[in-house]
Amino acid sequence: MKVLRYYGCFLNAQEKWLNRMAEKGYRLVRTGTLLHEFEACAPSEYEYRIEFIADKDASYIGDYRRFLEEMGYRTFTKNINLNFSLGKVRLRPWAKGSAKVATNPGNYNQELLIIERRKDGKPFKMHTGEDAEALVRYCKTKMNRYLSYSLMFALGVLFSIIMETSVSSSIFAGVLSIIFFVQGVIFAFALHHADSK
Amino acid sequence: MRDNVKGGALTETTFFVLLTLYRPNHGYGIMQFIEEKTKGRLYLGPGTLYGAINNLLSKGWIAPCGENQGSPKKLYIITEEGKRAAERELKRLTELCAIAREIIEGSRDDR
Repeated sequence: MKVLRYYGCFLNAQEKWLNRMAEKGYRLVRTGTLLHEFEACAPSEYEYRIEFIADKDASYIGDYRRFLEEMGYRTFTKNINLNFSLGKVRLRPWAKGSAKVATNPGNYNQELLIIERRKDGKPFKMHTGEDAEALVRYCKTKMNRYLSYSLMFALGVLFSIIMETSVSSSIFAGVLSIIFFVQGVIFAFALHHADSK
Repeated sequence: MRDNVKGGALTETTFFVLLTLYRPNHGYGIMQFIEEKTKGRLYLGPGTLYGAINNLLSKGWIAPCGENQGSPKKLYIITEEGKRAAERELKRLTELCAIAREIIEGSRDDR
């Protein structure tokens, strides 16, 4: 069964959904940009966790996945952005070391790691003790970026009103300001959820 | 795994992984060994365990060791340097325990 879903940076929601699917007897077999492909299995046979790994470079991700698979977990990578390009290079100032540069092919579009294990009644926690705060850093960077864009365009609107320039340009700037503001608010919500996790 | 560099104290996780690797073992084996020895008190998430192993590898306190006959699982073993670190930690904890006993049991007598 194929299902198209997109959760972006809302890891908890995606994790809950995968676990609900598993309870109903569907096991993940493949992930794509939007795609989640499932096969039938016994209800509640498997359970899932999702980890944010965008602050890690490609070789770390590969090694980490091998380690987990060796321990009997199944892993899938998933994108956090909707992006179809090849040869992409992005800077990630909030990441560490060589992961500051994300490339596609490479670690770009592999921001999330989905981990599956057979349910055994014991708690399923990937990290015990201090948790990784990379997701919080990521959401904060994005939120600040979009809110500052929004502010910039809002100032543009103010400027064009004072200077009595064309109405169309101030409407254009106003719309952009609102779009960026909405995106900033989405990341503020995600930040709130990531912080409480 | 942030270990206290100044005081030389190891985290419980780090120390336990070191102790487990006095015999060659793999990831899952380490997790089971620690759970067994602490009767389930200390459970290591696989993510945490991976971090601890990598940290110890980069310090040179543990090293990968030969393939497990036929099994593709990666095995690790403690190095001489790792053993020295474990002995230092044992000494530190013994001292700490002695002081704690002195104070705690001493305060009981006062009551």
